[in-house]
Amino acid sequence: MMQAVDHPARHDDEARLVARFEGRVRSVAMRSVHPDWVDDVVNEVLGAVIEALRVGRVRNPGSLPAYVYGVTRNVISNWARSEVRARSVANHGSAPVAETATPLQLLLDGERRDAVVGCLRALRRADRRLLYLSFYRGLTPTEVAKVLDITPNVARQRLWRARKRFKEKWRGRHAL
Amino acid sequence: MRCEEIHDRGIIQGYVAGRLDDRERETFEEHFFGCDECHEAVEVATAVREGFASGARAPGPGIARSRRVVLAAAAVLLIAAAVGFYELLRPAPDPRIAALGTLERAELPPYLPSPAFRGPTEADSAARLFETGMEAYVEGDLEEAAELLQSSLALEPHAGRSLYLGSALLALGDPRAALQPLELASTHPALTERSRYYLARAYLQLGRAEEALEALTVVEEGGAELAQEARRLADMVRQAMEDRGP
Repeated sequence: MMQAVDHPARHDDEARLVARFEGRVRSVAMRSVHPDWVDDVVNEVLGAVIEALRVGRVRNPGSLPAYVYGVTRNVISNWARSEVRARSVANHGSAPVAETATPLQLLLDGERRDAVVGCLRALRRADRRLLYLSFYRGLTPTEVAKVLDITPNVARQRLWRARKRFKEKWRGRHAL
Repeated sequence: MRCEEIHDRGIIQGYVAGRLDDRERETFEEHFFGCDECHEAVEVATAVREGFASGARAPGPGIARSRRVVLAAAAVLLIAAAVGFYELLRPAPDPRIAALGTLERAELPPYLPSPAFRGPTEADSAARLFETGMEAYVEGDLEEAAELLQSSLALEPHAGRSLYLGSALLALGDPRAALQPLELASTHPALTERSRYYLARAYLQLGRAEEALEALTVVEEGGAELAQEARRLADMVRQAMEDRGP
């Protein structure tokens, strides 16, 4: 994804930066732009951040998360504008915009879905129910506690453990 | 925005469901760019939603293993044993009377969405669970409907919504569990007759013919659309009781 850099130490730093922020940028991008463009947005954001680091535009490491988020929002705004433009052109019959996923994407999406479903089925029933109520049905820990007749603190702890166990199973099959 | 506040307010749930307003969403995104735990929670929540949306079956209430629950279960077993003993003394339901209470899916009360069933806000979880439960109800997936309606009513007791939970449980062949929500539904002024009608069916399935007749009398006297059906059912119950003899 990223171009190799000359200096090994710098290369390590940049690889760490990519590992730390790629998922975050992807999380935001997948909620903001067309699925076909998520990879491009992620690449553009990480490329821009690495470039900024190389020229010393970000001096304080503590401000890096906010900086990366700012770049993410800017890149997404630009893509959203070009998406609107592309749709406008497509509506006038000049350049069709691909709206459907490619067969490879469908295959990868299908594999990912199967892996997620497999992880959920492999969980204990109580964990599955907690994740279902919380993340699928959108209940807060206090609401989950009411439904399950437990205290909110216990709900929070159990939810944290269920999340951890799901992640362990998920790691065995797929990288989150 | 602090992690504790994020978890307590269900911000992650709102984020993955796309329910946050722009300002709240951006504040949270900025937070999770610097917070490993919240970002991990977003990734798990996204995957979990995807999994349940694409076929992982929603789990019903399971058996927890904590000591408190084991003790509670032991107490329940003792009570069940006592109730069982009482039930042994009680005559078995007359199959003909019990059959009159059987509820086919086609006889379920129709659902007409109305403001009376809505929650105060779009973010109201009880109303959201109710609406999703009613989607399952209308599609005929009564197990899913009962599960969601039970969760909705655990968050917020609601007489009107209870009618559908009671009816679904009745159609699923669990008249004992249907009694409580139907009793609650019968306190709703607009649903008294309808709830009593289904309550009567639950009593019949349990062989409690006298109580069924009492409930049917209320429906008949109410003179609403089910009055004629209630009269017909009450006649059949009386006939079955006469045939059974003293």
